[in-house]
Amino acid sequence: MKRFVFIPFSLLFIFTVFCSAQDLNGEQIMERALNKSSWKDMVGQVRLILTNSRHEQRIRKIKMFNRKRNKDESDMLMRFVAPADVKGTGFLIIEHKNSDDDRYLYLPALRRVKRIASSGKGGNFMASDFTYYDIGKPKLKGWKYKRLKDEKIDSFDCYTIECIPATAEIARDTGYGKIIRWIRKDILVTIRSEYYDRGLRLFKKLNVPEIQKISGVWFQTDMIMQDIQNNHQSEMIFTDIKVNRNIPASFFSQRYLQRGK
Amino acid sequence: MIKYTQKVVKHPWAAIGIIILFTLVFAYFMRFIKMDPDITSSLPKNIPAKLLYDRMTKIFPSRDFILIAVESDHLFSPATLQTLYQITEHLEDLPDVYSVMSPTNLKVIRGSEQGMEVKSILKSPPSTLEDVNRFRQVLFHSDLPIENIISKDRRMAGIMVFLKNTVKPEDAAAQIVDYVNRLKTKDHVYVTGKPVLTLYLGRGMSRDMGMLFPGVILLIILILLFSFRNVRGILLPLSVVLISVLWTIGLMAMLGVPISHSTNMLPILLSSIAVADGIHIINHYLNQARPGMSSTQIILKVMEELNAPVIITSVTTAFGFLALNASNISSVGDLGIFTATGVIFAMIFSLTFIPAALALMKPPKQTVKQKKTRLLNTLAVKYADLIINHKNWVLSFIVLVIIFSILGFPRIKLENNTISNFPKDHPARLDYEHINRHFAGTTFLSIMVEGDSSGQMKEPRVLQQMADLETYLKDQPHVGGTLSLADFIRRMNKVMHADDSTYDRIPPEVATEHGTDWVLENGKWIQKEISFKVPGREVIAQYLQLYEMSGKPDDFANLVDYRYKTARINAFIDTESSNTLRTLDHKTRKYIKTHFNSARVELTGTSELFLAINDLVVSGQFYSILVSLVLVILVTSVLFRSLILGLLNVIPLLFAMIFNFGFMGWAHIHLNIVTMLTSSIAIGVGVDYAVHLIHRYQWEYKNTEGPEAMRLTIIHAGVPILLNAITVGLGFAILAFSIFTGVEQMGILISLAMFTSCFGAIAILPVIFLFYRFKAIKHGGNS
Repeated sequence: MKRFVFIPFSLLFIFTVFCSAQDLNGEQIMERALNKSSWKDMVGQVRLILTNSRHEQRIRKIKMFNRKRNKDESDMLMRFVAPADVKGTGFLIIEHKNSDDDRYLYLPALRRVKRIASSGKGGNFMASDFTYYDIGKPKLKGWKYKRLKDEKIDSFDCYTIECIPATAEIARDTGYGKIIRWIRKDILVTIRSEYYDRGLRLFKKLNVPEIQKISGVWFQTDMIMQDIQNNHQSEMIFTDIKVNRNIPASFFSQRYLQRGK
Repeated sequence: MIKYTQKVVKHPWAAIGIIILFTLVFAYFMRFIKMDPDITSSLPKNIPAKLLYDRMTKIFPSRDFILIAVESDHLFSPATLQTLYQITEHLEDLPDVYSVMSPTNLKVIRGSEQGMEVKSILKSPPSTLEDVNRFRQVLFHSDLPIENIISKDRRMAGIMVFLKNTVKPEDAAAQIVDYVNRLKTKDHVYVTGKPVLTLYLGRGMSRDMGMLFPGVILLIILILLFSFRNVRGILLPLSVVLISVLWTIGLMAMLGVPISHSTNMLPILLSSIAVADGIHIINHYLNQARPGMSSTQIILKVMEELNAPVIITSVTTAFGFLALNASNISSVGDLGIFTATGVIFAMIFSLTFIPAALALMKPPKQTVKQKKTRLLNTLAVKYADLIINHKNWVLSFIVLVIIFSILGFPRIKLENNTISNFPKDHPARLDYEHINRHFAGTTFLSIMVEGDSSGQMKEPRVLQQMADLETYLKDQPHVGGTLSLADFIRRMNKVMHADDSTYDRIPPEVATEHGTDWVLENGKWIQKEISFKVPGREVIAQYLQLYEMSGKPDDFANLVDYRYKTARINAFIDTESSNTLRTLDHKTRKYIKTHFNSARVELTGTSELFLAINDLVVSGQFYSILVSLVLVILVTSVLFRSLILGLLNVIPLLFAMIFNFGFMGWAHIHLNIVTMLTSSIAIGVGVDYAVHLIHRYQWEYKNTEGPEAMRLTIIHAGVPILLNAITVGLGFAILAFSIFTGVEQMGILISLAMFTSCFGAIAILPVIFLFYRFKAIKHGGNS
């Protein structure tokens, strides 16, 4: 009897998923992916591994603090742990929805906080292959979405979404002419992306070999960004992620950046 | 040996068939022949200079650069800068290009209110005069080394195009030169740099091949026509020439040996040499023909006499060329090996193809050659009498020539210069000279600074010594500018101290800095100014960190390796003169020895490769002369079964060489990678004349004694020797029509050497034999 009830129910479930998946357009999928349940703040360790075309590496260890100020804006503080000659260096990003972000660097050798002139979202994040745009949360507005044929990536069913900047301004700011994202259907996490330059030539590839669910939130805990054109690669590995620790707002200030208090 | 000839004339079609079959195979391979005009690629891989250069190539992503210069009366105008901006953007997008450094894409480091910013000098092409003025202001206050992107008179803008190490520089140069030529602009655009020179060198070589080879073939046809005045007399030796050149080039293609600046001359050398045997054989054939004899009979008679001399002269010539391998320069060695192979090919065809073909033809009608021969013979008789009756005068003349030549020796200059090898009005030379006159220079000396551990290049002491070395280099003549990581650190240090020019230096080991600290006062956090000491290394590392915040991952890749273990200083030099480079090299090494102790320092770059070639030219010259003389002495001693005769045999060659070097000294012809070939080639080819003379003298000596034997020798051997020298000498003289000065000079030198070694054989040797009697002459004569 139990079985009897179960079958139509699950059928119904499959049917609705199928239906909804069929119905959703690119923008709706993106919207769902961006607005899925998330964290208020997080702390974690990052290992940033840069590899050049000769397979030489630069490894930085960073402690990272992140907080969502509101739905569209967040603050980020990073503190270098290694290499030794930049230990203690701090980096603060205050994101702004309608203007350029504020970026500050604290240099312990000079005991000064330096403002970093914004190079737009397309600037390289700490000389890596990730741009500020890549590491930030994508904004839904300003892009046109097109749903392409679903694909299976690493045995996961994925939506394939083509994102095209809606204005020349956004293209210039981000440096991209097109992005294709593969978003896992089951958990709505991007596990692969391709970035095209403004001339629509393939520029970079993002692979996410590892995702983890921490306190109910999915994190991309290993991201590999390959610059196809320059044969350069950057990998970010996250460990010790903790979420919703109620980090105070004063944490993301210039004083805290310098003092650590 | 005659058995071989018998076989050949018995089955002429088989012999010809085999040759044609092989010819088809080699002709097929000929299309795969490669060109490699780059002189530096012929350096041996295992010499220190080359190893170092290759190591540098592995550490830094770009090595070669092309400099494009745009000249305009209104350089700082929106229109010109827009053009410049577009050219720069286009070049940046080329797949062969690693990076572009241009006035319009320069990354400037500027002080900002609260720190430092790294920004492209222009976001978009300037459209108003205001934009232009702002651009100009920033450019000239950037503190960046702009000597290679803005000319001294500020009328030209330079665009440095760095090529990826993975591409073939001359191919990239072809693309860029093509692009520049297609540019529709009123302004004059110049292009130069090593890749461009290599490209033009290759094009010049192709042109030489296309012009000189037909030239030498035409000359051969004329000589043959003059000598024989019949079709077979022209066709048969000509076929030998063409087939041996074809086989040789085909073989080179098969083995992947490229046509280089040296092997480029091979077709001309080989043609001139290869025709000689054919001339001998045809000449004899026509002389020996008597009514009633069949072709086969004549040819057997001729070959019985000629097989030996053809083999002997070919083998000695081949050995002479093989001696070129004593130089370590691979392209020169290739020229030696393949010319030697070609000479042997020519010998085989002369002994196979010509008899086989003649056997298939009807015997010749009696030719009307008597008159000409008689004229030459009377001249020969007069000449022989002159030598014998005035041997003292001849001897004094020879001694005078030798003294005069030796006086020229100290005047010989050793100089390799790719530029002066081009004609004065060649676009490659004009552009090179124009650009190098107005910019820092396109030849570079790279100074590699190698540490033992990662991060060592951030040490203040290392950077300070690098900065000092740059200052020293900039004071040297012909050094137009330098570029290194130290320049950027100095700039950053200045910018970070409110553009105070006293901070335009590398931070010291322990820097005193002024910063702020947050202190809690009355429960409030306030900022206070403080002064403190900090290791310079940390200051530098954090400047770089700050730079990286707005830079790209590979911004400094060409100046310092990824782990800051190895850095390099590039010094730009406005000349390719090996003598200037040598002086700079010596001074720099001396300076480094006394002033640089914070890391290991090595000198490399194109300038060092040129010097390495120069060294090899000197040692190669010495060894190849030595080896070819020893080989010739050995071969001829065996041949004559007498060491004395072997030694006597090289006297005409020694004379030719003494004259050659004396002439070079007096005529201001530089000894370089091309002209160095002269002596070895002259030995290889010129040895034949002495062999002929001594051989004939031994033969005449059997019947007559004393001066009379010499008289007969000169009369009988003198004419063929002289004719041979004229043929070969004229053939080599074709090289004088090359577009390259070096090849042109070599053509003249070898032609001269042919005549001097011929003179040595028919004047010096007779005089020596008239003064001294050698037992060996008596013993021999039966070989």
